[in-house]
Amino acid sequence: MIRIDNLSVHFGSAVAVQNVSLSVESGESFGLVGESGSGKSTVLRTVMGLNRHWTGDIRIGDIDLRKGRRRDLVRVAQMVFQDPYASLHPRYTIGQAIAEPMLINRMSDVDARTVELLEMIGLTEAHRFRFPHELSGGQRQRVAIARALSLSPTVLLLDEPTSALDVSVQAEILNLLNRLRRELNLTFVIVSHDLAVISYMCDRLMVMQNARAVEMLTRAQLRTGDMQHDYTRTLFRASRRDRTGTGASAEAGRYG
Amino acid sequence: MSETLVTVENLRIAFAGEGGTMIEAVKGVSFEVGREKLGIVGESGSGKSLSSRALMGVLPEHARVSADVMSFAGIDLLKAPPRVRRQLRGNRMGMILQDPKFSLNPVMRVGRQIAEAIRLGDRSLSGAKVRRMVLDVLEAVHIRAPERVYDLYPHELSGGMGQRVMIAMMVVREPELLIADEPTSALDVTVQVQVLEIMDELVRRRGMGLVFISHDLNLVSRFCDRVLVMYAGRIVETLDARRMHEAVHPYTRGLLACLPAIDGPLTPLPTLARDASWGEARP
Repeated sequence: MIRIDNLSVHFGSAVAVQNVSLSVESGESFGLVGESGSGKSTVLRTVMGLNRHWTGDIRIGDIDLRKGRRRDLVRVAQMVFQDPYASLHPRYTIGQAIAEPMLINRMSDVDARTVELLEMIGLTEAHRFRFPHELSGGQRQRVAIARALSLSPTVLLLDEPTSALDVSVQAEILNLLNRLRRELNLTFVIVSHDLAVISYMCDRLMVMQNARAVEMLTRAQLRTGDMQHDYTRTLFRASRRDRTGTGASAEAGRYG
Repeated sequence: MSETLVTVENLRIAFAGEGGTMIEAVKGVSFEVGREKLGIVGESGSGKSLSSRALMGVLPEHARVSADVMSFAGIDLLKAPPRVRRQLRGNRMGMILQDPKFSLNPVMRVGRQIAEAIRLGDRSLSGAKVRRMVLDVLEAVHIRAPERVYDLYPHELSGGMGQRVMIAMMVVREPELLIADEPTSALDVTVQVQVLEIMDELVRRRGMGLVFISHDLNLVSRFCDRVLVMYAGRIVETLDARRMHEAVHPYTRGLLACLPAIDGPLTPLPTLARDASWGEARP
């Protein structure tokens, strides 16, 4: 579904991504992990066509990103950003925000489709006439997902979709995303700094450090700690300590 | 907890709502802080940040604060004049905020910002002595090249370095109480571990009291001695951090259950089914 070969991205003299290659099968969920500045979000944004200065090859479905038209790309791939407070227009109602991509693309039955999308993500028709500030953070992220799904894409690019949310809301959004992927047969690429979220959501993952891909892992390898690169191990240890309390100061397996 | 630093009883914070009504955001919170690491956990809007800001005395003026008791090291904070509160802030009570990008002055070199914090406490120190203190505290928060970092501007620092500079600025005056409001939420996990270790070291070595505010229950339980769980403006449970699994309140249990784990099950995550009774006062 997605094929990236030797992608490099430069911002001026700075190298943001260097020689990264990966491929994601149709229906697969793929994770990108790494610390701030490692280039994981840049890979995602480049695939979505939001960076112009890149070299290499990117193919999504049968679209060659360099030759294809943007209008075709947006029908195949859509992106959900980290911060639902920033990614929704504050003076558009929820209904307008969801309908806008469909109006731009001259689709018919926009009203019915808007209601259908709202129900799909667990809101009701009544939410159409609300403004973003009237919704909670979790509801806003649901709206951002509905907007991304409005053109019926097959690929969702998710950039830290839950890191601005409370943990209790995170669980709801992750469950929603998994249900949508199953029901709509979507392909996911998820960027996160949280290995637990990636392990829960993704079949395979790539670990990035300093603009390079350092390791490719399957979920089974991640779960058993079967990894080669030192950086991946550090990340793994930090996340385990963080999440399960098995650090040096706590006895192992405290919370099972 | 050998000695009580802070006592808060029945703290209430309210804001004016529409039509002259008052909306209570914190509804009668009582707790004590000793020379320990106290965690406060809760979701957005639970009142955890407001409570700690009331303690610092940095709430906006339109907030109505009332309490039966609010004292710090024997000083009655409710009666203390603004001059006394100002002397306490920075000097004996410090606060670290979530994002160093918004908390540091963007047009001032970080070394000078720390020096300013020292000078505000003691104006009689010589320039050379202050510079020495800044370099020492930068080293204490594990910054490798303090001489170089001294001359950097905040935008030249990484997130983890910026947060360490913030911590340096707060601990250089050796406060007795440090309030850290989501100090590591903006940081990468590997950096998070380092920052927590630095704070832990400072608390142990200098005998500070630390109030650590976070929405991440597991992080708090690993790091702190005691944990207060807040929900809708009230403390619903107080726990020994080592006995987190004995939590009885459904909200706490729900929070613990809804986190994915690296080797956890792949079935749908349990979500919180909120109960209206959680928001009511306990008998």
